[in-house]
Amino acid sequence: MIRFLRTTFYVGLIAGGLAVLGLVGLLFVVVQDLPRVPDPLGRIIETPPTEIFAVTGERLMVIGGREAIPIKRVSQDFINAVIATEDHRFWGHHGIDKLRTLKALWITLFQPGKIQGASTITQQLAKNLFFSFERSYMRKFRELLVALQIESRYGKEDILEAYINQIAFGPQAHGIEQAARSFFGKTASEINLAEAAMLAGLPKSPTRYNPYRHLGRAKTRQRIVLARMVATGHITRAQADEAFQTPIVLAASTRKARTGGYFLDMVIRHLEDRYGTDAVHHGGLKVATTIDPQLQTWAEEAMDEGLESLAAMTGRAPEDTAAEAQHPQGALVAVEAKSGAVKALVGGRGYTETTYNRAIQNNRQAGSGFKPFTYYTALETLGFSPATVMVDRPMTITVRGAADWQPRNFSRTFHGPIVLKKGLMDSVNTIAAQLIERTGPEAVIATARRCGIQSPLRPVYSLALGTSGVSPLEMASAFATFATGGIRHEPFWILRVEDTQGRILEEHLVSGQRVLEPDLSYQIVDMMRGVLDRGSGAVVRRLGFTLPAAGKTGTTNSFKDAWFTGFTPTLCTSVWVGFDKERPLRDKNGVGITGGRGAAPIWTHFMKQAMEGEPTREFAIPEDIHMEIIDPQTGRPPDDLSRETIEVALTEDQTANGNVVEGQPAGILLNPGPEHPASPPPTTEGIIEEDLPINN
Amino acid sequence: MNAWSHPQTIGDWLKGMVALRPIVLVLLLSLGLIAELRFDWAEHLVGRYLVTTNPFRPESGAIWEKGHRTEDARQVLEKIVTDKQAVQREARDAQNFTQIAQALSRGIELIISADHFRHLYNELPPELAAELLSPYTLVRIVSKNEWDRAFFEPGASGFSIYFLNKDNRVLQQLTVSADMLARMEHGETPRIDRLENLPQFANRIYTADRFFRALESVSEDVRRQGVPWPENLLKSPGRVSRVAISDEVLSGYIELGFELEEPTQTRVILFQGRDWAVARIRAVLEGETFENPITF
Repeated sequence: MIRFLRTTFYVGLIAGGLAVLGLVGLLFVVVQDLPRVPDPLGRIIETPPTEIFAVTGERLMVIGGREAIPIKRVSQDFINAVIATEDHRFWGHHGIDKLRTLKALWITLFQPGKIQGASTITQQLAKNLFFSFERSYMRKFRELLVALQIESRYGKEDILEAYINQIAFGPQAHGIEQAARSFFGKTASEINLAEAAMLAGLPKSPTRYNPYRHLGRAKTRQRIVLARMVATGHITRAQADEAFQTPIVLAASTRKARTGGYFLDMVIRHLEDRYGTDAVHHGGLKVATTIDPQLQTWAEEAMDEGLESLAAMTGRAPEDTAAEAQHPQGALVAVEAKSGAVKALVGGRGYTETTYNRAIQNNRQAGSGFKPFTYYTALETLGFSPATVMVDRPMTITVRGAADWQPRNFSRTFHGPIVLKKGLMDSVNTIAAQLIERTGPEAVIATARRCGIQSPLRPVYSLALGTSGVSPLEMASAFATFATGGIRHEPFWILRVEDTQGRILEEHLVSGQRVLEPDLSYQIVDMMRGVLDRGSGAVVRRLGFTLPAAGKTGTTNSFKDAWFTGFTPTLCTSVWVGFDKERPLRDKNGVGITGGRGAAPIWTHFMKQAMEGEPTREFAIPEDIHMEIIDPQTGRPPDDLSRETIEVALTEDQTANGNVVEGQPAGILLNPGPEHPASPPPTTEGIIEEDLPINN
Repeated sequence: MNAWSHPQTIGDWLKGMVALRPIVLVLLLSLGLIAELRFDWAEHLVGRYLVTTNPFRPESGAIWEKGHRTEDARQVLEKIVTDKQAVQREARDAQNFTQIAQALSRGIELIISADHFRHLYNELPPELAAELLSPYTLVRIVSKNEWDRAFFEPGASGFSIYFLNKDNRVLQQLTVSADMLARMEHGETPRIDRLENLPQFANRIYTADRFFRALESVSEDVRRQGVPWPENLLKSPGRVSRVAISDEVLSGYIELGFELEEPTQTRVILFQGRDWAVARIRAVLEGETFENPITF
């Protein structure tokens, strides 16, 4: 027995000695490529931040960088909460909490499936500063060594200060000062116990406990932090209960900035493409953008309300997050007509829900929203006028090698002879089909391209009815070309980029190019005014928007997309609503939701606020334009038999003489032969159902 | 050496157990362990050792990588800025468009003041200057008092010039082709020697005699507004052989071209007249009455 004990003792002694020697040897090996610790420790926060500003000078976003503050300017409640939660023996250990480590080791080794963490604040700091999140014993060992070095070189307050200034609380909240400002709109010294406890709970999983998205989880985590503070003697049970009952008021501005994230994403992508990722995230750029925070807020509010209303219309409760994917989505883009500056952009229901930017990435069929390009092409290439009479009646377009195309009207009725202006106002599909048949799809595509539509457009007849996908940004920008009398401005969102020292790297030049004839452009504007005043977009007037404006509704096949794009002489806004998965937008009674019903109210809500207080500005009338009142059925001045009248804009060489363009008899081959050999046939899906005229 | 034997009695057992050497060893080990638990001497020892090795260790790990990326970003941006500044410096000292073109050859845009552009413009031979931009257009732009800077953008061949106001809005855009640039460089006379070379004058070219007879038939006010600064024609050598009227109206002005015959060559001088006055002159030329609206 003695022999056994002695042997065991000496074997243990030798093994222990060898282990110590091994560790020392390992230390000498590992130390060679152990990362150097910056001195002073404050150097870790020296990355200059990239800042993005609104046109008003308001700072919208900070990328990278750290807003470091001395620990004396941090709420003691927060310091206590962090220590209680993360490392309650922080003030006593020297970088490693041995008891906690042994306990964690025991659990990890002997309780399969369980892993216990025991990192001290110093170890966490070392890990955050130097190491990846790879789980390995070697990484832990290296992390431990750096922690020991940090503890030997710096005081506890320095370590704690570095820790709370670099820790991540969320995507826009690195360090306690940014976190306090982002979540509560306060400085780090101003946060109360309840807020401190909530913030201290976030680093464990900033996404999972994000109070904006999961307030319930954040409150649960806050309760755990408060319990830890009670257990460690920082506060009493009564204080913890009181703090837990204190209502959490999140900063509203942060919510807005995050939703404005669609626009910021677009800005960041542009910057990364131009200067590289490093320059954007570590270069300290100062970026002045075009966005107007007030318009952006109104755009978001209008979209929120509009989508809630749509959800109610379609029988979906807005708060039903389980069916989130089934909620309709929307996008809105507002562009300054005279420059192309994007003043507001909403890319979806909420940036926190989905970062997919429907304002620029979503190419959805425009429906009848595309008709103005067809009408302009007809005026330009066929010499038609808004008073030209065409016959709305059943028609068939036969296409070589494809099924016949029989465009139908939404109302399933036909108006007979009507002037072009009336055709656009009431969005008559057969008229648009006849026009593109005469101009050819390529000419319509050329017009759309001149106005700034860049998405692929298929050269088929059904293009007249908007069967090719476009984005809301394209639509807003293209319609702005009509608003300016035919001068095209490229849409842009960055005004100026400067480096950290304020030296200019990039400035946007506002350059307009005349792409449309001013007279014809005005005629289209006047026709689109009719859409708002008496046509398919009259809901805009009914909802109280009284300023001079023009626009066009759009609804696609089976109500999968609802559009409204409209403009005043100064601001052009496009609104799209629909489902991400192309499903029909129908109300509870199964009735399809049109652009006039789904998108136009959002447009109106936004534009009423955006234009509030603006002086009434009329569209500039070119010198050659004169107005005439005519009978929309005959295209001539009204007579005793006229049932209604309509005012049309005509150029000097045009008169309202009832010039009737006869439609071709149904069944005749209208598709061009030799000159369009490569044109793919129109698809049957191109039959577009358009909004009901308002008086139907 | 005595052979080891199994203890035979309890006493032998105890003697073996409490031998001095193991006791001392156990005590020393316990002392070391307790001292470590109490005073963290091992951590201090390792920590201090690591502090001494710190300067010799690599700048690796997330924070250093971030630092390096920051430095890389700084260098990239610094290069962009210094390149721009170098080009700007060259442009600031440029005495002619050729030097501007040389600065632009680096593929970087540059900006000069409106005054500097006017200086460069005045350095061009008048014909070349007129080909680049009608002096009357320039006078009109200057008189509006909006023009602040000229922005030069290099292109695949030649470059574009944008006149900007203080809000960076483009007031006028010009293009300098590689061909024109070459002629600027060599100080050659402009290629525009015939009115037919200017498409805006197609079908509106009149003999000088016919034009000046029409000009004489209109009022003095129309003459002054239609053909301002006729002294420029007098200063030019040669005689006017033909006159043309543009079919484009530009901000209330219409361009006129005067083809001059010189002993060895012909050349074209461009003027701008007020649209209404030129329209009246043209009406006379076409035999129309003033009452008929003239459209361009």
